[in-house]
Amino acid sequence: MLNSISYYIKEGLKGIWRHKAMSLAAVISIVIALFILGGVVLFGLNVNSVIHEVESSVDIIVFLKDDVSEQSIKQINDEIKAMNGIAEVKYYSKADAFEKWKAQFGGEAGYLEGYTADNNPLPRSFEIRLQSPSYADEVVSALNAKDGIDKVQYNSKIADTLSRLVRSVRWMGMIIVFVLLIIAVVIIMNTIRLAVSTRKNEINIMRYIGATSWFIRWPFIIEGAIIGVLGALLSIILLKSMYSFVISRLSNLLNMIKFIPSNYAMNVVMLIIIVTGAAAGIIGSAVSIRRYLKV
Amino acid sequence: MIRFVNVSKTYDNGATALLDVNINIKAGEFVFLVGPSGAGKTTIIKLLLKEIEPTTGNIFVNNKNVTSLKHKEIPYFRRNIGVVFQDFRLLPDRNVYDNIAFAMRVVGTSQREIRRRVPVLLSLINLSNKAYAYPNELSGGEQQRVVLARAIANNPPILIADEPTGNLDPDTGWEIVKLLGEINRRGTTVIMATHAKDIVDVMRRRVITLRKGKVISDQEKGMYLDDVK
Repeated sequence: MLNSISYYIKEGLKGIWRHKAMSLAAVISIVIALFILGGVVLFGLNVNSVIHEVESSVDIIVFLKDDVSEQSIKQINDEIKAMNGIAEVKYYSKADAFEKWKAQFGGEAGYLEGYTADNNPLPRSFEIRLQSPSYADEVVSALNAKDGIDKVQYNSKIADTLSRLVRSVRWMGMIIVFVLLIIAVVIIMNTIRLAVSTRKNEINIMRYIGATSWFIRWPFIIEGAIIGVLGALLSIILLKSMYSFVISRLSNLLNMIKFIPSNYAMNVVMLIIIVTGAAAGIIGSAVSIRRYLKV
Repeated sequence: MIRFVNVSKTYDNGATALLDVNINIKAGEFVFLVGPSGAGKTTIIKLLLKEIEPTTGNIFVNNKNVTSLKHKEIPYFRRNIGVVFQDFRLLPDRNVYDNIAFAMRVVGTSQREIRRRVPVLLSLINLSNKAYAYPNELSGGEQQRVVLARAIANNPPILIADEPTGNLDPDTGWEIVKLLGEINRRGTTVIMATHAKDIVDVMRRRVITLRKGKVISDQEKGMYLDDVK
């Protein structure tokens, strides 16, 4: 048993070496297919993170009545934090609001003449950032039901549009990745099928000698797996260096976009690519060898 | 050892290759299968290897009905039969030693046994000095001798040779036939399909003559029939 396993692995490796040109062609086509796939996934991940940023920047502003005690403000703060989908809650006191106002209308500060940080008509407020706009309805209606709240300000129309946009962008991204995944698998399987068909004589001879199907199949499957993983590793190396390069160039130009750091993004992509490469390699050889085993 | 009982074969395209063929070959025999191209020699060999199925009739090898073998059993069945082809069919990417050793690995022979037996086979075919040559470095006769060594590597009780001298010059062809005779002397049943009249006439072995899918003559110590009506 152990003897034959080592034989299969040895034969698989030898097979790659004996058919260098074919193996090289297979590896290259796998690298290209997986590189494109990985590139799109990386792009998608970054778009996703930008979307996430935009999404969570949608604010709900809660204005409090002037007669609410400090005690109940604290309580309201805790209650908001306990709600579903809250990313961040910030409290603005009268003094904070005054500062903000001053900063915004600095030149026309005359407006606020006679008022001080502690004594002014500006309401105290909470600014709430949501994890996603989909929580907005729930949160807004919960807030409206509370005592001591003067007004809940939330632009539901913008939020709705954004939320719909986000959803369709995500779906499209997923569909594109899925289609590319299939294309990559088909390319890889085709290449391997070509590689196997150049060796149909070899398989034929083995059949005449009395080799069982699995005896013939194993080295091919191991070969396919090695070629698949090799192509995957190469495309990862290529992607990683390309990604770092692109980030270093673009982050200067587009400084408002935060790119996902190279290492984190690569982990996700690496997993997808290696699994795809190995699976396509294995399935590709197993499927393409089948027709030659019928004799 | 080998029995064809009322075997007929019609191919999918409607061509009838064999018509009610009955053949009985005993263990240890040396049999020539002769007849013009298209007479059904190759069909008989393909049937014996279970590469194709008979349309009607039964084929027995070692008292086992080949017709009822399952797909999974075919490899094990084929290990009873060594095959030599007209076009050699060596693995071009392996040297002589590995080509012969390969046949033994296929049936799960241990590495030690392979190392012991391959040199014996190489000396039988007189190619000990070319163990590490690749097939494309060998002459046709040398290649066919390697094929022969590969075919008998696992000591099969039956050896089938499909026009083994077809691609060789007469002298080289004779070497192969002599080797086949030697293998037969050691107890292997040999079936050789051929066109070579001179070989058949000199060897004086059993000759089964086919024409248009029928056995028209079956003689002990026979000759090549030139003009059968």
